[in-house]
Amino acid sequence: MKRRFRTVLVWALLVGLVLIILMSRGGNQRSATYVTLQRALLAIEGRQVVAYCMRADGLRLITEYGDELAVDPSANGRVLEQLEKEQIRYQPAAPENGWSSLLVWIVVPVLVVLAILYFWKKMNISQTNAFMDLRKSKSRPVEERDKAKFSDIGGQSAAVALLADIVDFLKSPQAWRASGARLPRGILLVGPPGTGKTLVARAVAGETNSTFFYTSAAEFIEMFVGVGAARVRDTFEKAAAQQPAVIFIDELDAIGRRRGSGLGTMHEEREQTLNQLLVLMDGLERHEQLVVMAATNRPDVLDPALLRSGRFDRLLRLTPPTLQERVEILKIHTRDKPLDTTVSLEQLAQQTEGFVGADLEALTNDAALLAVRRGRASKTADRRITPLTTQEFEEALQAMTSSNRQFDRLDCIVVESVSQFAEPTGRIVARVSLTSGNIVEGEVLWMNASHIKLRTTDGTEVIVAKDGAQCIVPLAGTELASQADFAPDRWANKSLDVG
Amino acid sequence: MLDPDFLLERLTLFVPLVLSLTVHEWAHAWTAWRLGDDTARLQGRVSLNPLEHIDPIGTVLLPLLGVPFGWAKPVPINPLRFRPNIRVSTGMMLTAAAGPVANFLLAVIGCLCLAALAAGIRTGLAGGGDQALLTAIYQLLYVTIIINVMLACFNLLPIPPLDGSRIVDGLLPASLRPVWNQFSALGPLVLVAVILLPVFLGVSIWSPLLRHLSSLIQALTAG
Repeated sequence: MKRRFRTVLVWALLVGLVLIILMSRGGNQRSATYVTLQRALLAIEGRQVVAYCMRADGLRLITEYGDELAVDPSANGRVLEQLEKEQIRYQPAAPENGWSSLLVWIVVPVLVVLAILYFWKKMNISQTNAFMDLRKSKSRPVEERDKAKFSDIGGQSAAVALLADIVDFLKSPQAWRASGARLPRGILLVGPPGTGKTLVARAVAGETNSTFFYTSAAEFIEMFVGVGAARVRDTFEKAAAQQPAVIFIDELDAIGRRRGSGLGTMHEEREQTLNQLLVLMDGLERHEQLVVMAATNRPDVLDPALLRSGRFDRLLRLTPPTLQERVEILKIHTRDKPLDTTVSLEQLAQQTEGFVGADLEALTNDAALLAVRRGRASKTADRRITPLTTQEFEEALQAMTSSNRQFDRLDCIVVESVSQFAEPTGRIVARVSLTSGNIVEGEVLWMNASHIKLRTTDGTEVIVAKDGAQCIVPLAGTELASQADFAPDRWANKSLDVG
Repeated sequence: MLDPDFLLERLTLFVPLVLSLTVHEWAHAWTAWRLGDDTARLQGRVSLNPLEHIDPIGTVLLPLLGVPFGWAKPVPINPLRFRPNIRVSTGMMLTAAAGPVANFLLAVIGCLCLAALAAGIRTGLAGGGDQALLTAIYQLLYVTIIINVMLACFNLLPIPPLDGSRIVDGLLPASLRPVWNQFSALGPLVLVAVILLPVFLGVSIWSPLLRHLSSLIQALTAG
């Protein structure tokens, strides 16, 4: 019922609208009044007609009031005769716009086609632009304040020494050019995560005051074939325009994986990108002050072509820091942090065996956060100076080790040697009885699948192969299930009854 | 070209056109429904509401721009849903023919109304009415008749997307079918040619039809 009402309403509106329009156009001069021949002749004789014209559908007589009188075409002859007799002037017809108008027939389709073409072209252009953007690399110069200096690198003295040539070349290339020597342009930084590969590259740029282009190899790879290679080219072009420059490609293994490994277009795209990189590195001109540094923690999967002379022929191994280096790194990271006099960075370094630079940075940062929090808690103290105390470092260390290394350090021992029912309570001291008859006793520093590193009470560090251990007894740091009020795991060693 | 006067004139042609197209599509949908296929009915096409049938470009934009050509949304037909006692080809023919037939019927009704109106004016029965209103109704009826006849004739052309081709399709002997299929593939091109060629040649394919129609209407109104 409602639908029917709506239908009726729509029709009533439409028909009403048209009727109103038609009525209002009743006096319009375009719509002629059809008259009989007699009336037309009478009107002409009575001088009521002032002009006449021809329209598509016949003769029109224009009266003194501007109305048009239409006559049946068959009577045209008689009417024209009469018109000539009365010497009524001919008035050329105004252009008519009706169904028959050829203009409308032709102009409208042409306009429609033009509009379609216009929009299509516009769309096309914007698409092309999108593709052009795609070919631009996302690498951009890193700002000055984000650059580092060699003094920001703790340890890694071997690596820094190897980089001295590069730094010198970027600083004063004339001497190198004069000697005719070809300087290595590609440096591959290899090392476990967090050992400061990016930092070294940034420091090279910072020391030599060159532009630093940071890219990740993953950024080169896109869904579309050819984009990766275009982006590599774009990066090199950008860098060449801002010499001296250092291009840093992080996670090189994303594109630098051995070619021919893997199937499918994705790999082809990766290989194209890699080829482009190789070609561009070969093509580095002597005079260009451009150095490419790349970082990876998987040097074993890299394509051999990347490592040959003329490409990444200088390999810098960044190692996890030693005790002395950890002290240096901690010093660097606590440079701008107020330290309590009780804090001993040496002791802290001893406790952070196995930490890499990034871990140490996080540790000092966590400690600083804790110190600020403590400063906020104690309302009396001047909040601006809340020195970092040993306690904060201990707390931060504990948080990090318990969240990150719980399994590495303690659970291994617990699971593999002593009992399944033990809980970590702190630093572990263990006694390892070896098959050779020796007994090693000390704090467990780390543990992996095959070896255990212990620090004995006199400070020497010993690595013991698990194969050689007869038994491992935790002396402190774990709480045995037998001592704790602990129900044995009912799932442990329970067989499924399948018979 | 787009002055208000022009648009108003278009509008007076637009409403009869929408009426014709609506009735046309409604007839297709209704016939299909009566034959057992409720595909169109489920989409609400068995309705005389023009809003269910109009195509924004074909029904609104082009006629208002003055292109004497238009179309509405096609009615979906699923011949497999016809009642079992109806052959698919027969059902398709009936469904296709329903549109033009409805337009012819509407034209006939329009003629009757026109004749009645003319008779009423002549005999003075409608004398009390407003002269301008009577003229407007007269014009509206006139245009409606012409458009309906034109639409019906055009749709009966045996060129594939048009209704006439479906009727031919149902009547065609099997021996001619390969030729017909080849022609069907070219259908849309032929249709474009049929529409555009007279325009470029400057002849009107409608003028004989219109001449006969106007003389018929004159005879009717003359009583």
